[in-house]
Amino acid sequence: MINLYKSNMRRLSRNPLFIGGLAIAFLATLAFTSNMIGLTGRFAAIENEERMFFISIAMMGFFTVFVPLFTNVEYGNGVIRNKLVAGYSIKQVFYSHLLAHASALFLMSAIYMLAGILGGAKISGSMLLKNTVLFFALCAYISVMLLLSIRVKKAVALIGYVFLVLMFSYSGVMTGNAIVSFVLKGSAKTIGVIIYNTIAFGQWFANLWFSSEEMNPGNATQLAISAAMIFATVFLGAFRLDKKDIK
Amino acid sequence: MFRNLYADTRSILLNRGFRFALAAIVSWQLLFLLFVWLIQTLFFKEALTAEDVGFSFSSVAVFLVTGSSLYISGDAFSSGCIRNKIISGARRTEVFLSAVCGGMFQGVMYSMLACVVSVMVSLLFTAGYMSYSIQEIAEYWIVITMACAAIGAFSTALVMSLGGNQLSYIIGFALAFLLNVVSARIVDKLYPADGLCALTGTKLAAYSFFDRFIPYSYFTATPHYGMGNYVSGCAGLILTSLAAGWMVFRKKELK
Repeated sequence: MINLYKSNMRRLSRNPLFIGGLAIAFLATLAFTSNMIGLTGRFAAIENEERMFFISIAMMGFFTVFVPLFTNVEYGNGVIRNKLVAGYSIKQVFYSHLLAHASALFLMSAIYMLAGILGGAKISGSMLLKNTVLFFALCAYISVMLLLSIRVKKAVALIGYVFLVLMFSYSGVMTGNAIVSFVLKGSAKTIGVIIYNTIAFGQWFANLWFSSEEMNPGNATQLAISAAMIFATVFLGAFRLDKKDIK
Repeated sequence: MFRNLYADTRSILLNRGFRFALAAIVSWQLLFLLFVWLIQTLFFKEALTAEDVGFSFSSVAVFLVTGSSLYISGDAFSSGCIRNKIISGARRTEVFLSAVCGGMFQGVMYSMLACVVSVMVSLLFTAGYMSYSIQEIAEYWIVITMACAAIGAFSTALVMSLGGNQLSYIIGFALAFLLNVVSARIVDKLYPADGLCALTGTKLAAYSFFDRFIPYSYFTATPHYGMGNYVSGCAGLILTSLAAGWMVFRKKELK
């Protein structure tokens, strides 16, 4: 298992998409946080750390493309088969990919934090807490992406599914804002807010400066929701995975 | 050319992805109906009008047409169908044109089915249209059908020019997602719910151009320009896809 993880990390360190992603994460966060690009209006009026947090959602877009590409290519060129022949189980392959993607997210988040601080974001307890919440929300999102990547072998179908998840995340949060604010009341509202926060995009939105407070059930609850999502998706991903037919 | 068209149409009609998309259109319309009906009856206690549920296809159309045309034309590449056609003597231009026609055919079929299902649902489960005339509804479906055909042509040309590579799927789906988000934002800026449009100069011109001539934006709001604008927008995307795709495909090395 540790060897599989090491080999994934070696591939990761040579992956042009990942290296390009890190470079873009650094430059975009720095430019946006320090407002080098000369934004006006409501984006100019807010604090640097709010601008930094706003741009962080680009990582969700990046991992929507990166996770399926990095994992699915192993099905396409027979790497997973070779790993099985070498004596590893497919569950070990799955867990090693999960760890590698979490490490990739950790690296990108570190670069993002560095760029944000260089761009003038003030380090405070609330800023660190918000970004930790987002990190775990993105971990949950990555596990959903990996669940699809390990289960769906056909590239076009997989990419269709991951973009479907992205589209539903976006539309769900936009519709969710209206439904929770104007339609739901009482305990239905509490359930609505929890469902809304199962989506990484929802947790990000709930922590933005202009978002309504009622969308945020509290950072501890958000962390608990992310943990539950990670357990559920990892369980679903690993469930009867050994029975999967590999060509 | 006709042999190619016949073979492509047949393979589309028999394709699992195509049938799945047809089933998805019907299911989405029914789910949407159920969802809106629940909200209206439980929370607002109002009768359901056809406007509430009749236009639900627009929210999934771009994604569905893109996904289906990428899936079906990607299949033709990975199964070696394109290579076999060329070996059997078909010209590249014919293969390309027929594939793009197949993409347009899919768009038209989905839109027509969605129109039939929408009319049936409106007649059976709602109190009818309150603020749209029959002519406006007809115009809406004509524009949606043309836009679906244009998007089908575009994404098929994309796969053909990138040779069924994973990149073509990512570009296709990412464009579908981004343009969906962008067009919602543009409509919001051009026609704000509160007050007048505050855009001026180049920004206004660019936003209006997008709203008027880019078929991806036709799904966000009901038709509000003359039909000529929509026809030229769709024809523009189809012709651009044909020209750019053909130029790449005719020189492309096929595996």
